[in-house]
Amino acid sequence: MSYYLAIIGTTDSPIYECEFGTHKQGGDGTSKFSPEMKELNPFILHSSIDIVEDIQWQTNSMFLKSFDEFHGPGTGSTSTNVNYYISGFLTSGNVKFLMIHDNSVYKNEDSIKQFFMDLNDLYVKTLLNPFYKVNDVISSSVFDLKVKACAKKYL
Amino acid sequence: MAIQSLYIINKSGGLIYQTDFPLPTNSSTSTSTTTTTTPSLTRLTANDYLVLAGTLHGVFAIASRLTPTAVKLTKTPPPSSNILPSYNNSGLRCIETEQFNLYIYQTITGLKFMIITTPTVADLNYATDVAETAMKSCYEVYSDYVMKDPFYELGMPIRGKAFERRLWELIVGK
Amino acid sequence: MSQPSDIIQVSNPTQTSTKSALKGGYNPSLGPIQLPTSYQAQLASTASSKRNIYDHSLSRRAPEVNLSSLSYIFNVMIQYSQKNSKGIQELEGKLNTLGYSIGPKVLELITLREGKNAKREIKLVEILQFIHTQVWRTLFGRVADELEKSSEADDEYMITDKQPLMSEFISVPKDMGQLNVNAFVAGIIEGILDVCYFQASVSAHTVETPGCPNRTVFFIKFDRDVIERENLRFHK
Repeated sequence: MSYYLAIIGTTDSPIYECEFGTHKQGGDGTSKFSPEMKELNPFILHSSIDIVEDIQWQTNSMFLKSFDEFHGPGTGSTSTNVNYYISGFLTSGNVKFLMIHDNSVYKNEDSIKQFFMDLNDLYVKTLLNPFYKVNDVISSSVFDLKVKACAKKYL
Repeated sequence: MAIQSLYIINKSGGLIYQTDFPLPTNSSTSTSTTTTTTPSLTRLTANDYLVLAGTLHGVFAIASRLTPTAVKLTKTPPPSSNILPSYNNSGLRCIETEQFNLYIYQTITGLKFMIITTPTVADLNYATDVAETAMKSCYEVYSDYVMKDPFYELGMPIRGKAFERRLWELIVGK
Repeated sequence: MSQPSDIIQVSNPTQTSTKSALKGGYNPSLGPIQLPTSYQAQLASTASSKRNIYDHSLSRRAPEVNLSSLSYIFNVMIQYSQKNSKGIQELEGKLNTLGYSIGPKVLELITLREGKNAKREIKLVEILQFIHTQVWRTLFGRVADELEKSSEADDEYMITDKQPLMSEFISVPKDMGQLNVNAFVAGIIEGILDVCYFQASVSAHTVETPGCPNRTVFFIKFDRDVIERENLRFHK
């Protein structure tokens, strides 16, 4: 299983991106996206922002589970297409955490939710840094490490 | 013993605040009179108050030079309960007369709080304690409502409404 | 005779340039890159050597700040803004800007601390109630006194605080006229509303009543679009 995560600021520009794979079932934590998918990922997420902006006015909840799908090239050399799902999390300040994952969310909905909650915690900590302004790129390597540690813990 | 007047004098002898308080009336007579808010002292001209403050500042300085070393209060650390100790160790501390009593409290920065009260009938030590507590409370109000005001310039006359209001709440109770 | 050891030191690749080459973190011009796990382990060991902002817990029970410290820092903020502005309006604008950047940060922190009950506010009245209660309680330890809708216009709301904490010790001199230092708090409100997509301009006005000389009304005027969107979505 592979994941592509992006944090989108309030002006729809990414302020953080990362790619990782599962650590469950003997995974080593690296993503197995095919080269085509690696290039497509940012575009898929970008197109799903429209959907987020529509449903964010219909629900109070922060977690948006598998609100979008994408049928795209599969992993490795096999050319069969597979389904990708997009889940999201909206903070109260309308910063979007969006994630592409290639497994059905029904199996690990809770762990994705938990992952987003922890990510929110990390994001708020970044925000409390007086030198950080809303919508600045998060370039901290510690943040990067903590996100990957969360991924390892839940996904 | 009732507080009749408060003077605040800065470290260079300038008067930065002066006000007179009304004498408290007994509850039995308060229904008949409405003069509770009129100060009990005759007002002088603004210049006279400045002169008074300046004179007092001078007398205070002379008094601290005249005080024999043996009589000076030792600077022992105050007990833990005694916050905001008076730094008036060697100067003029009180004047007792038949018309009025006068007490002086000095802060660590040389700011002086001076109150004039009606003459005391009880013993002087007790009256000094009461006066010191009152001046300490004034100092507290000063440090909150004057020192935390961004529009107040150090050493200048105090014009803040909030300070005046709190002071009257403290002394007059309304 | 000491030459051989020198040569060994220079040509020892394991000890040189490892630290400078390690540069983790997101770089927008590179996109997501995956460092080898060995690199990550090294990074983790260097990063964990000192305690940083990510190691602190955000869920403290009673996050209180000394009122004197707050007053003094606010004091300096006002004096600094006053020094750099030409008039009352510019001063209020500067204070508003200072508060504005705090708004989103406070908002996110409050929602995070609510834990499981956290939700996003999508209705205009609800976000105002949120500011009136939760935000006020977090910032000032009590809820604001009143929340009213203007009887004249449908895009105007007012939050009233009878005794604002920030201006408790402050006496505005006569020549400063209508200045209200709560413009800073107004900025915080504006920041919160803007980041929730309820664009508004917020200003603070002193409206004295007997017994409450510092009573402040925060006047909130929403953008026309916000009201129209609200009507379309929730009052069909």
